[in-house]
Amino acid sequence: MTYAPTNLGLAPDAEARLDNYLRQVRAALTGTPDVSPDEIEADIREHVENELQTCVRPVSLSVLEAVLNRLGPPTQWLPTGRATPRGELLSVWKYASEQYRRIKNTLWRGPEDWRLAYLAFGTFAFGFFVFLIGTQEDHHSRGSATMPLGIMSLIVSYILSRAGVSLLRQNGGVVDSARKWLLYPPLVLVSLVLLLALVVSPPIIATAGSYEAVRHADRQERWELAGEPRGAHFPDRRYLSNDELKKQYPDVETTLDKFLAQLPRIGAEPLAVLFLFVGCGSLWGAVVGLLASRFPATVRALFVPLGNGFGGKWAGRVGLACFAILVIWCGLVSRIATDAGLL
Amino acid sequence: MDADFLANWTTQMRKGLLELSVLATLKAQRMYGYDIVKRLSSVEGLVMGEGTIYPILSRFKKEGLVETTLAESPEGPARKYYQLTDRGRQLLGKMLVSWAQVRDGIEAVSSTESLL
Repeated sequence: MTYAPTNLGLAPDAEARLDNYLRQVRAALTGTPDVSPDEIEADIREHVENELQTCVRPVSLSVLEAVLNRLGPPTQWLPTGRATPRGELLSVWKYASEQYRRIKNTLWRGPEDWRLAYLAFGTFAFGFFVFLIGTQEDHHSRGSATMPLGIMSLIVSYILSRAGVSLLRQNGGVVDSARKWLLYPPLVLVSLVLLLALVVSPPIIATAGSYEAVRHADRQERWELAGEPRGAHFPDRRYLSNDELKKQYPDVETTLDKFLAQLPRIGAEPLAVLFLFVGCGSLWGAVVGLLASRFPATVRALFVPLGNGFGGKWAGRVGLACFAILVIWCGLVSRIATDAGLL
Repeated sequence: MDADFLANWTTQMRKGLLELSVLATLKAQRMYGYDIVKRLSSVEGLVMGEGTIYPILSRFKKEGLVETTLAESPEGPARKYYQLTDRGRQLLGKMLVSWAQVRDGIEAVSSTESLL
């Protein structure tokens, strides 16, 4: 007589959840010669069947989930007597070969969420090293091909990681610590790059751009006020730089000069750049804060896993603070401009 | 720090005791796997996840400490019953003696030494 598995009468989503749980149990027991995964799987099915005996059919996912919770997470299913990897019974070689076998089995036959985790980490490691090699190489030769390959691999690893996390959530599982190490590196790296690109770099770029534009306008104004000097007086007919114009025509006073005159004489220009950065930063902070508080789910989705605990309220407060700074900044600009006789 | 230490210590203690408890449950009679799980789960603080007992039973079977038989059940398909082998019975006897020594020793120490 043999044990014949019966139809448990589960709803489709519950059936899928149980299959996934059993696959995780198998994965946890892979490479453990002192137990029989087939037998344990049959035992669990019997156990679930007994637990659900009095339940209404089809059994819903929530009812099954309660049974699986009492059984415990599959990762804890290693037999209690199994030697630990650092134990004296296992040599380093035996441990390494066991790990290799376990990873190989997981990659070929294991559940999708583990396979995705290993693939994501493998692609990330490959992309990272290729990228590093690319940075060391001559950019005019092989480096030009290596860098894009590394970046592409990192992007693929990010997509695989996102898929792995989504699959786990879809199956009602959690990202345990082992899978965190496999899935999170590409996510954290991309999140940091996105954070730099979307939050930090725009005010820096805006400040640099504004600074250049102001300098250019200042030079043009100084040149015009100086009587547009060129020609015979300057045989090479080249345009004079701003510094050269300042030296040649010290009496000329531009709008920027009037503005800077209101600031402390020592370090007026760096102070003005900092002042400009505060303006750009507060404007961008107010915009980003407002958008993030309005769409917190988008922020969480964009910055997985760094943004997992992100709440819109916090972003709203930052946005308001930035807006307040911006208002003060505008007031200061108006005050300085009035004092300089520009308004 | 203390909480982590206590959690780790409790887990280690529980692991060893769970194996003894599984064998002890089968001392008097053969039992259905599900009933073993339910009986041990009713002991406060012994079983963290009910699922941890099945791998123990599987390992004991491979090691020849228990054997299984399938028996018809009026409630559904055939059930798998676990029972101790002679070797398992002998080992259980030794384990119980060893456990009694440890338990008595700890009780003796804690009753004579002041813990405060």
